[in-house]
Amino acid sequence: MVGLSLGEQHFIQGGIAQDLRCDGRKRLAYRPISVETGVIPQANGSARVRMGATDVIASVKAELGKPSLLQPNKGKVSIYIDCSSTAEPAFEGRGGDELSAELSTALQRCLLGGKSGAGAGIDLSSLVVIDGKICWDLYIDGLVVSSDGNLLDALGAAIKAALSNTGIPRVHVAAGASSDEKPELDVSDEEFLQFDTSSVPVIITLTKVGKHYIVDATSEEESQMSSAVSISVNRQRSICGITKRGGAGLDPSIILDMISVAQHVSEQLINKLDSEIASAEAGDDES
Amino acid sequence: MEYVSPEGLRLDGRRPMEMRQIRAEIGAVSKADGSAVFEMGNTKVIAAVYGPRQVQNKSQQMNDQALVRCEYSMANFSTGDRMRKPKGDRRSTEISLVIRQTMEACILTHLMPHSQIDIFVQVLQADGGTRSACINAATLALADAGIPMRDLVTSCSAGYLNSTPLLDLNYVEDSAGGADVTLGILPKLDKVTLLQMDSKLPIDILENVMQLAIEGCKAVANYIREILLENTKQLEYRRGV
Amino acid sequence: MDHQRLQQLTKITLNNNNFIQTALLSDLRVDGRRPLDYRKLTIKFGADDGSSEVKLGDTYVISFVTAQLLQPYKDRPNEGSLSVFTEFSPMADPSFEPGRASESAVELGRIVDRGLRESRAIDTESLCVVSGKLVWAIRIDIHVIDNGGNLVDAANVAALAALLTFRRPECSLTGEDGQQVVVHPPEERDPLPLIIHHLPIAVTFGFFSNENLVVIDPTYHEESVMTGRMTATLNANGDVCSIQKAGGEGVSQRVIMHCLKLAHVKAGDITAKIRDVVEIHNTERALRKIKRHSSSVAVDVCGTTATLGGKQNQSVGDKNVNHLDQLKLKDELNDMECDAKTPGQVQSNKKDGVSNNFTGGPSSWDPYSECVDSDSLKASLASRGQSTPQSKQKDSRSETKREEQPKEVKTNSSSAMDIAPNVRQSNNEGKTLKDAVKPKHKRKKKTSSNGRK
Repeated sequence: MVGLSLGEQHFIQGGIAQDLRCDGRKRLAYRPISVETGVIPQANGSARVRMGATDVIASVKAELGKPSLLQPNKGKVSIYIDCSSTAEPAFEGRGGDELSAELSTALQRCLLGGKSGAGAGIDLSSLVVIDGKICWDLYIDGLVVSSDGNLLDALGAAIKAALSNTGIPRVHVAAGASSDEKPELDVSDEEFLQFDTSSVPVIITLTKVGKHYIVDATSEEESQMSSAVSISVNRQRSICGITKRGGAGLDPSIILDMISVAQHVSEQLINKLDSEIASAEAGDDES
Repeated sequence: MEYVSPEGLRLDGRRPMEMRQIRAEIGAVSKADGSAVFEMGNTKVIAAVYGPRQVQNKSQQMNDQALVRCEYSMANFSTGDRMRKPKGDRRSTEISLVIRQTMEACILTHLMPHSQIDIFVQVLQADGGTRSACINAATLALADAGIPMRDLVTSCSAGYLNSTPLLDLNYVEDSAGGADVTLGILPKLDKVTLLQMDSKLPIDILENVMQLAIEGCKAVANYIREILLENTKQLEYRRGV
Repeated sequence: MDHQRLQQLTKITLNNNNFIQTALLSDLRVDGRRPLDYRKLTIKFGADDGSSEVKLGDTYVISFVTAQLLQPYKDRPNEGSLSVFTEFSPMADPSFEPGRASESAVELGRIVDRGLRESRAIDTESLCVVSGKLVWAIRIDIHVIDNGGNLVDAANVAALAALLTFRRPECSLTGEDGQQVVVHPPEERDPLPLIIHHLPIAVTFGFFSNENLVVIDPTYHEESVMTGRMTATLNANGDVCSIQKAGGEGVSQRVIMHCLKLAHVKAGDITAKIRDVVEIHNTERALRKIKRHSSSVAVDVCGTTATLGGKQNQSVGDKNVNHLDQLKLKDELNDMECDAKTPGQVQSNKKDGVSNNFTGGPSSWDPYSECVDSDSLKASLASRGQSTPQSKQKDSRSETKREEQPKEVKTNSSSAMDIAPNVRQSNNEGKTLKDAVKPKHKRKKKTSSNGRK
């Protein structure tokens, strides 16, 4: 973990109290975000997001599978995060597993909605090819290449960018196949379906240090936090999920306050991300 | 299957003795002491070096040399078929060992007793020759971290298909079942430090394939040296400003 | 990673280190060998098919081969599979830890595995029973009992010897749709040997910081001094099947090519040695099944054995299957007389192995004269006369074993006096150990038989 002297700790805390952080940002300001799409050619969609020294890659792979019995008219999406040891020597071997699992569950909660699939950022029913028989299984893999705090937000942004970069092959079902036979499928190489990612939420983590909370904390700042609340907000400013980390308890009124702040910040972040994604996609098409 | 067309072209349009496009970039992981990205065609790896630093596990401390450690891991999305492999399977354990010993051979470990150097390599895309790419990336990352080395280790693979020695195999050629030679050299000393080979090949043909791989390694060495020079120039320039 | 620490604890002292290096400069090694000599290699077989014990100097490795009917891999529906598992016992070397496989264990397994698999030494397609449904999965278990250095070569020989003597039960397809698999017990139909195209032999070299120093088959102490190692796996035809030089000291290409040529010669020697012992084992195995008569015409048989032996020695590259065929033929021809000739052959072959070992090249012994050696024949016949000739299978098995034992010791003591007591000791140790490991082996067989149902 980050080793900080007492003086440094006070400096960080004091800076946050005075709304001037170590890197010159205000409490509610993000670091510069850069988005690159199509970084993994083998995947259906991929993106790399950098926020300061935090660097994450997300990839989306689609495979044909069978929908679950309970929800025959919905596709399946699963999110796995892997913390590479390049990011932090402590992630070596099984060292990163705990954090990976924590991030995976948090992202699933924030992006995929409830167990029933309701409220998911992605329209799961659009993944179905034949009701109850064939659907697309989306595998979202995240990889933390370099970590300097705020991994959840970065991963959320990367997944959003990767999804908007994703093209799923159009599948033609041979007509006339009887219902009990295995239908013949023709997976197109040329036609791709794009996702509507406008409803995919962004994640905003508010880290509470001292009496104040900040967005986009670096790992130094995270080491001083008492608790952190990750709120996922979509374009309609509705809340899609909340996860709280850290030991210290929070007053309910503070959480409500945080939510309203997150809603406010989300607007800027979504706009920023959308423009970054658009320019990355444009650059991608040109090359 | 035909891997070399009658016109002497390979599946991806290269000539038998042609390498894929290589690209390297120093400083991909800002938090690491040294890091680099290395691409050989579609193969892409990131290497990060932490150290020399205090030995984390005191019992491993060595009094006459530095402790070198290495971990190789593949991203879930690195291969064509998405596979979720547990960390530390037999193949990656072996590759970790190979990379560690190869890098150990070039690091002047006796200059840094009581310390530890960690090398982490992460494969982002695997399209054949990951071992070579990892070693090249690790060399760059070590140089970026300013760790004293005897020489730059560079690596390249070569194979033998359709009675033709081929340089720098991609995944399709690699899995074709022909011979696959991965070679790592210390270019200035002209010594071979890493040599791994699979499948069946008569000795004299192996010599040719090895020679080809050595040429490949030397080409990589030249490129790596250029990249390092370029990087140093930039650092100098920045300091000047 | 703890492995590294322990390795450090057992690190060689500076004085010993210097001694080994200085001695090497004058072409001397600690155990009296020259740099390019191989240690004495002894191969023995267990009572079951597909188990072997290999001693290479102080290094002691045992190996078992088992087979199981399993579903094939999706990308290779018509091929059986081959997997290598290694187990390093902590008593072999304090740096081996029980439980999790150490890096060196993984590397060893991978080298053996790659040498066998990538060179297609074993015909995996013949292991297919029902395409895409059932294939034989061959599993090789390698246990290191004592680490005297150069585990890789010993493990590789052990794996090969075990594979060569392994028999899998025959199975056939019946039922209406021809999909019902019936596994025939060994009593019903003779189990089948594996089809092995060639023997990839691993030969390990050690490099030292002085580039001109190269040793073959390094011992435990040399291993802790040397700064680089290379394992080349070649077959007797001079095909390189795999090379592993995982970093370490850099050597020039010239030295590597030189090493490969040396390895080729050694591979030839070791192949001959393995073929010989397997041959003996197969003869013994065949004999166990033969009904015995009391009378015997020794001279006649000796003639056939001698020619056979000569022929087999010339064509070492022949398939194992050929040997078997020859044996069967021979058995039919002179049924009961066979028992008279084995002792002679055992001895001659043993001697051949020993001389091979010490001259380092093909020996020039004459199988014919060796076999007609009336003294040895008489002696062996006399010893045989004591036990009842019409013994049951079990008895005859133990008998052949008993006979083999003193011979083994004899050759040892005549050629390498100083090692002999050592070897004998570890011999006993081996027995008990092997028994200890057995249950696991048996259990595996059981599960495999479950799978067949």
